[in-house]
Amino acid sequence: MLHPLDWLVVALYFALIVFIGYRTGRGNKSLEDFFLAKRSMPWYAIGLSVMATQASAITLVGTTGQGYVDGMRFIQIYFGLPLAMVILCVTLVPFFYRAKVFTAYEYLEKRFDGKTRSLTSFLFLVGRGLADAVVIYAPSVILAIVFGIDEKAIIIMIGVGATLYTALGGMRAVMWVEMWQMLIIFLGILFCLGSVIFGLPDEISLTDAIRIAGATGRTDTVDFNLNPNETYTIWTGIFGGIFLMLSYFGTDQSQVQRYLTARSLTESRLSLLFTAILKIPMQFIILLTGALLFVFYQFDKPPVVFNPVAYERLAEQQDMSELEADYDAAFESRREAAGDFAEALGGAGEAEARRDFLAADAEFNSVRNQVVGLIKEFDPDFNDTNYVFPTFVLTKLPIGVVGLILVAIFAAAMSTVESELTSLSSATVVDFYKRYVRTSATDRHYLVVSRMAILFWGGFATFCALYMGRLGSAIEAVNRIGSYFYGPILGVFILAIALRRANGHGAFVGVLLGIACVQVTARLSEISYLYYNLVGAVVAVVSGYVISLFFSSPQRSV
Amino acid sequence: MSKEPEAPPPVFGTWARFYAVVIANTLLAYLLLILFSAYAR
Repeated sequence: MLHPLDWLVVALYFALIVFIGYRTGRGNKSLEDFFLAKRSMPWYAIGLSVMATQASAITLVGTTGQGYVDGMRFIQIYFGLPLAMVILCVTLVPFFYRAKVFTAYEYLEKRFDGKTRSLTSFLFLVGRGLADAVVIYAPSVILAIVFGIDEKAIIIMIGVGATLYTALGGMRAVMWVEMWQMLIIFLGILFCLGSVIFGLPDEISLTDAIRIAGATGRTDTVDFNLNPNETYTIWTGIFGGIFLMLSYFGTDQSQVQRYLTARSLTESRLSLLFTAILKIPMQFIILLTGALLFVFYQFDKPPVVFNPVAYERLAEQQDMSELEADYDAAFESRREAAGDFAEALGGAGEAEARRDFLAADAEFNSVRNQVVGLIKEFDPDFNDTNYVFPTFVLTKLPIGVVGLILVAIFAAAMSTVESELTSLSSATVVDFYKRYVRTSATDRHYLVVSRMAILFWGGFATFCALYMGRLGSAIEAVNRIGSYFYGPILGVFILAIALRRANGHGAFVGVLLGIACVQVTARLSEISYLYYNLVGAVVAVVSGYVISLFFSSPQRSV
Repeated sequence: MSKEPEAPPPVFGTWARFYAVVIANTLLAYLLLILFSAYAR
């Protein structure tokens, strides 16, 4: 259970974001104020906001767990990000900025036609609408189990909290709050890394710890395997990752809206290049924390499984004393072997000590896997990865710091939720309401409708998150299908800026064919999901261009 | 002379040079990660 001091830290965080939101969000008089912060934001605030939007709570909690369980090879999925940012700075960003649009899809009407704009915006709403519920629900379940807080209370704190100040303050409030949230996340990550390093036994140095993690392959960060079915390789990370990141940062309204708030094109570009430089080092630190956590638990006995509820359920059904005794013995022998290996590093007995350590680690894993196998008999989807980091935080960190890390997890969840809310609301109001329902009304009217749209999407996400236990598989299915849209939408933007001959009919059919091809690829091939956006974009561009040839050339206005 | 509204930070001179720095920085990051893996193994 949380100490009152930790709760005080959480309360201070909520007070801080409400205060920042209130101070910075006053004076919204038009849609440009409300959705684009009067196009007045500096690059550093946008850059941190872009990073905060991408870093959800599961990114923070799951990535450290990934480093612990599987090692640091996960970092390769970010290899394409910096290159994608440079491509966007040269191509899409200047087009968006000079077109003075509110949404990415609005640009497509200026270039093509209304139906292409509406289709892409609708696909965004479908894809992102339910993703918000997952962003709220996923960390809530973990925090509820590990910290013993009521799950519904956490969902309401994240969902209602983010919805209210987003509706009140608009984009400017959201972005300044996100900037602070991202700084809190950075602080949380650095505290964790420091805590793990200082938590190691005195005789184990940082370099020893890295070598121990390295012996088990957990520090492998680059894999040159050419198999396209493998997700964590340098080639998939660069070639698949570039298209994933181009799709996400170039066509997803939740990101485009952020850099449209810049006070100049220079500031837009700087914000993306800032993210390009920081992202890989940030992921490295998060994953290194997870890998070093693995070393920490060589010398400090970890729970048999990190999800306490799953283990208690198993222990209620059968006597675990024999397996627990085996587990204790396997841990002791591994601890000794890890210590011997650290001592032997650089000496004559290093190779032998390494072999002994790896054998002891395999024996330890085999006992643990027996327990996991028993849990999977009643919970086939059981996965312990996301529980490693919160368990460490709650059981090993001092009072107050636990509150700070909990706040970082809340900040990561809320920063993603509020970005989704502003983008869903802007797409709803600008691409549909203002386009089809009330084409001409007062600023006051549109502001009221925009706030209502935020309340609607926030309420919808919170409601779905509250009932996710029952609706889980349906929501996940829609979410997965939603992720298939991004590549084809990227293809339409490539058609728009690179192929003068492309027209609205070609673009419209190109998106639909691209989505169909991604679905078929996902069903019939084993190729890594990172390539889906590449497939979708290529199909949309080629088919969109060919179909365009059957219709007259477009009248370009941008 | 006033700064161009779409100019990069003066230290880089042109956007092309700035992009080249970002790409070089990325390649350096790949190289450091390869060296890190090789050292830790």
